[in-house]
Amino acid sequence: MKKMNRKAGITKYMMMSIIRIIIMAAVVFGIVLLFKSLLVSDLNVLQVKNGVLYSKIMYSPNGITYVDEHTGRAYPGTIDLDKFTEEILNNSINYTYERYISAKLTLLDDKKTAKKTIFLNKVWYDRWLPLSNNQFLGLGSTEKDETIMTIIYKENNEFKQGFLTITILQPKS
Amino acid sequence: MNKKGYMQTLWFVILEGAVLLMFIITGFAFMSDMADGTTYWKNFYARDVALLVDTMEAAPGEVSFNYNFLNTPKDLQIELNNDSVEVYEYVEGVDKSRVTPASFPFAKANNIKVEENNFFSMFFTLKKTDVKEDGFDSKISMTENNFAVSTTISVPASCPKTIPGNIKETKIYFKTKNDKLLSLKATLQDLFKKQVYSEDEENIYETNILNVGESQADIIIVLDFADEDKLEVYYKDSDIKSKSISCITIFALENTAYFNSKDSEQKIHTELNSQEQSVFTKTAIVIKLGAETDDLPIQEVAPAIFNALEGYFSQ
Repeated sequence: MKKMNRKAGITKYMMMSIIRIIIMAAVVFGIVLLFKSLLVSDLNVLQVKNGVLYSKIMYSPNGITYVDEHTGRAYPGTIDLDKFTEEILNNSINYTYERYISAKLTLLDDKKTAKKTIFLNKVWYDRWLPLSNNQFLGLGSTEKDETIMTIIYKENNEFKQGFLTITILQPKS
Repeated sequence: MNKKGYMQTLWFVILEGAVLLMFIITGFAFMSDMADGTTYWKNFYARDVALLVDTMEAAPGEVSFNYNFLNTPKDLQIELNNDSVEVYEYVEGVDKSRVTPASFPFAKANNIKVEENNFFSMFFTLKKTDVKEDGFDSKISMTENNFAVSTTISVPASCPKTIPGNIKETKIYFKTKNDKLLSLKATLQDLFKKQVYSEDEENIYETNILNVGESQADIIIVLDFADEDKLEVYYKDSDIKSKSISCITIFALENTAYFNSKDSEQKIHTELNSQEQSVFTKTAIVIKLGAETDDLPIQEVAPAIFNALEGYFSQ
């Protein structure tokens, strides 16, 4: 091996040290990433939130559900068209944190013709709708959940068959 | 290189080592923090309890839900606010405003009043009760509860079986000579009061648990600390009931987080020595809860002993 003078030796050693540090840092970083991938730290409650909102919409006596005036009993699956308003819906389900969840409820008759549409947290529903496109991935996008269910609705003291479409939008973060 | 060159090389070696050490420590500190999991569990419980409150709001009628924290590496403090649930890491002596909480919102219903409360407890009860006040139809409240959710444990098959008798007719005497275990003794007595007896039968608790002398008791449970950091449970060899309760008790205590980490050599289940055997004329067990400490987790140990007694009586 060619003998180097002191300055050259130091310089060479310094360069090699820098490369060694970079490689060792990459190895340590790789080990940390490996462990991180095995540790579960994600708490995904999106589906649970959907389920809770469905329950609140269908069961809450102060909401859109038909309540018998004599017994005070709420009938899940039966909508009172007089109570099917945004004001009543937003008052019965009031999340003070506005970016929590939003929903669109569309009441359809038995021929699936839309009768009325109301929104829960309309401001953020309109803002999140474009982000619910499947092209957008990651925590900044929106989770969309759509359900259509068969219901009975009360209109002018008559009970009729119909459908209720519930579209829920919520941020993924 | 000559001597001066080697000296300079040495500095580079030291610098390189220091930088690498820094990377390694940072990396493992990061992983350790993740594995510690306190943040995860704070988030978990904040979400779980908030979603539970949300669900209770929609539920018809009155609802009562006993809840307990499990698997927490550190103690947690929970706070029920008007519109959210916050969970803090409980640090004794530190004001919770200095600790970052995990928070999760729930919906406010106009007809349901939420009673704000906060405490440090592993067990608590969420209740929705019908009230007609201030324009509200219902009220959701959260109360501290020293009451374990699982009221009975599955008795291990290896434990001796016996006919224990009726818990309401049995006099139980808790005994301790160590001042540091007085609160454990009081907690155990309270667990009986809350669990076994209704308001109408409170006099039975007074008679059978609170005001029982050692001579009147059917079962004597002695609480003490061990000389070494070992969990030791002793029984009277001649008494099948004593063997049965002690076996179930050590099973229950072994499964608590406090004693779970000890290896099998540090968990001793054996008979009393001859001198102590002669002292007790009735069913008796002696429980020695590891080395003497001020930090015995009473919230964990008391329910374990209580559950063991319930398991014994449910045979």
